[in-house]
Amino acid sequence: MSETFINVEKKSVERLKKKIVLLESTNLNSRQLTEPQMIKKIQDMIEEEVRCCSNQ
Amino acid sequence: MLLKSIRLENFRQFINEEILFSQDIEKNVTVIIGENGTGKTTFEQAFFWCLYGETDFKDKIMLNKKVASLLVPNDEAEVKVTLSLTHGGENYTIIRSERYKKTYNNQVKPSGNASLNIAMKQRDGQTTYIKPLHCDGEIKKILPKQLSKYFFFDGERIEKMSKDLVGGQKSAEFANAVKGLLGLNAISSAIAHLKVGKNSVIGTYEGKYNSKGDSTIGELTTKIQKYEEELDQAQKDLEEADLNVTRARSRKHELNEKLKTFAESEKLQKDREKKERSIRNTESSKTEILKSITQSFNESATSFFTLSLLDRVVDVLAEADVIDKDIPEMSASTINFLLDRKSCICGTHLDPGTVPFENVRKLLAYLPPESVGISVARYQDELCNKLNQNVDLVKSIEDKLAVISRLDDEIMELKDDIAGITLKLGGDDVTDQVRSISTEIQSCDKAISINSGRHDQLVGRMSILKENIEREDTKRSKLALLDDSNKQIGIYIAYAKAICLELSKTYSDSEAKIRIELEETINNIFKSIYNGGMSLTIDEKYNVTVYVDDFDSSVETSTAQSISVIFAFITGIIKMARDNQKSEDPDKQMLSSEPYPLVMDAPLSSFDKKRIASVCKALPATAEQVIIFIKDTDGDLAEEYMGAKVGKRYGIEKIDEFETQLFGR
Repeated sequence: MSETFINVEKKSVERLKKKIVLLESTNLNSRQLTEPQMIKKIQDMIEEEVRCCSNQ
Repeated sequence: MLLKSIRLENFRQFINEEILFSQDIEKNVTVIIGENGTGKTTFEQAFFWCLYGETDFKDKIMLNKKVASLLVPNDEAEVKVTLSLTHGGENYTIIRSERYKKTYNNQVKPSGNASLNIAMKQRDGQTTYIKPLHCDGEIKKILPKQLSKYFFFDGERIEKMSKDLVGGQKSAEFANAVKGLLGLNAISSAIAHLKVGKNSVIGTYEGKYNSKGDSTIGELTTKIQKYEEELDQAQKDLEEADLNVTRARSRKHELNEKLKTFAESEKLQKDREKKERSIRNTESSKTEILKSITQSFNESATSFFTLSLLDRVVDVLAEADVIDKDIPEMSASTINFLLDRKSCICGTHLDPGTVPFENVRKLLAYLPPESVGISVARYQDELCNKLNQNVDLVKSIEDKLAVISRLDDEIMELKDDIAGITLKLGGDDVTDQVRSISTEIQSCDKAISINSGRHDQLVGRMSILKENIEREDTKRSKLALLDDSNKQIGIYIAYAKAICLELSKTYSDSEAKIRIELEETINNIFKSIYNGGMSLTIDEKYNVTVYVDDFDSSVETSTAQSISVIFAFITGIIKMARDNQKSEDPDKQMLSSEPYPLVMDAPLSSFDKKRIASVCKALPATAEQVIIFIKDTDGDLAEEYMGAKVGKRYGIEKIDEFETQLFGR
């Protein structure tokens, strides 16, 4: 998949999608994380995945 | 959420009773059996009171009447319901209590607001107490009130829900319930966190663009944010317009249904008005007849009252020997002439003192001007006429009185009919109500038209805004590549957008798949319960239509069919959520949600034996936990068909009107 001039890894996107839904699902039940904490957590997940991709 | 126990203290007729619910996976049914009026519904309502502080009872005093009667003025007593449950792997104890005080007027009144306390025992064994202000919020997380009706229901509620569902009412509410229970909320929440608003993942990244090197990036970001804000607003406006259309359509449907019931009333009202007019006309005819009787009587009153005298006169005259003694066309002057001439017409000498003279002289008494016989005869004729006239008067009055009596009967009958109609109409004048409903339907049509127009406008505007955002974003991405730190942010945004796009696709694919699967699951359950050559469809807006197999048009369902539909609907959702949880397919696992119990008060009362058997078999197989409050007659059948699945059994027994006890069976 590509976004204008930036290529994104399809597998990474799929992995991130599942991780994020799992995180959301868990938090919908537990409500442990607040909205800003959830946003920060998702950002961390994306950044970590991007770092992994660039290291490969 | 699965229930562990419920304890009722001083709650209506329960002074201190507890039910422990079956936790056994294989025997997941708890049955509570009781005769009518023992308090099964009270127990079911205790769940509601504990979770939401509300009940359907008219009497809002929850304190047990016996306990209340023992209080002396200024004394207090407490009503308490304690519900233990597990949710999201945590153990919760929810306690709602309310204190009551007896006044010096011997009245029992709440002495403050009901309090809610929640203790949560975590997996590590630590117990935390939720702050009072957050307790209602916590309940909302465990089971929002609007979802609760899908799990806690009584026969009446099921009937209403089934009518709403099959009648296309509240389909949006059903859609939300399905999405929430089948795990789509996690996806929509992820999409919201990724892209909605300045503080979202994408919004925050966009705010991090460094525009010091190139001010155009900053300008483009400002523009994009402005367009996005406008797009968000347009999206909200669109949702509001769509909601208004749905509400107006739903209201219009309700009003049309109401109008149908009024159509019958309107017909009755017209009938009543017609009968009232008939009464007025009949009364007016009656008045005319009475007037005519009075007039005839006035005219003939004198002769009427002299009638008996005239009768006597007729008798007297009949005895008088005066008739036929005179000689027609002969007067007294003729006799005097003959007497003066002293010779009769026949030649006889009429000498005074002789017999012939005297005989001729006697004729003077009967001849004009003193001809009594003729006068008497004439008078007798007149009398006969008068007597006949009086006979006609009596007969005519008798006839007229008979008509009046018939008219009175008619009036009485009409009045009876009107009283019957008034009773049916409940004493209301429906014309005004029909007029007001028709006006409201017109307002609904207007609202539908305005909001549909607004929908089209907003869709057009949103399309333009999206094009603008894409154009400005492309420009910004090109510029961002020139700066290393911006390039990194661009990469994160690209990933976030790609995830968002994928999630949106998953959402719409899953939603469509869920709907198709739900339709299949519900049909299977519906057929197993109803078994009557009928099937149902669910459209994109979650409108449920029931069809007779091999017949194209939808059909109106009977109460039992409608209730079967709602049973199938609820158990279908629960079954799918449960299947998703157990599935090894990662996509299905992604859609799994918390298990919920089914708590039902008298759910079998609308079914015949055959359906009771089907329902009893279907429920334990679909829901994680089933709690049934049931009357003793249905209880035997439930035991027969569901016995193997029953983990706990209780009976409810009335001690007296104010106290009921539980006992294990």
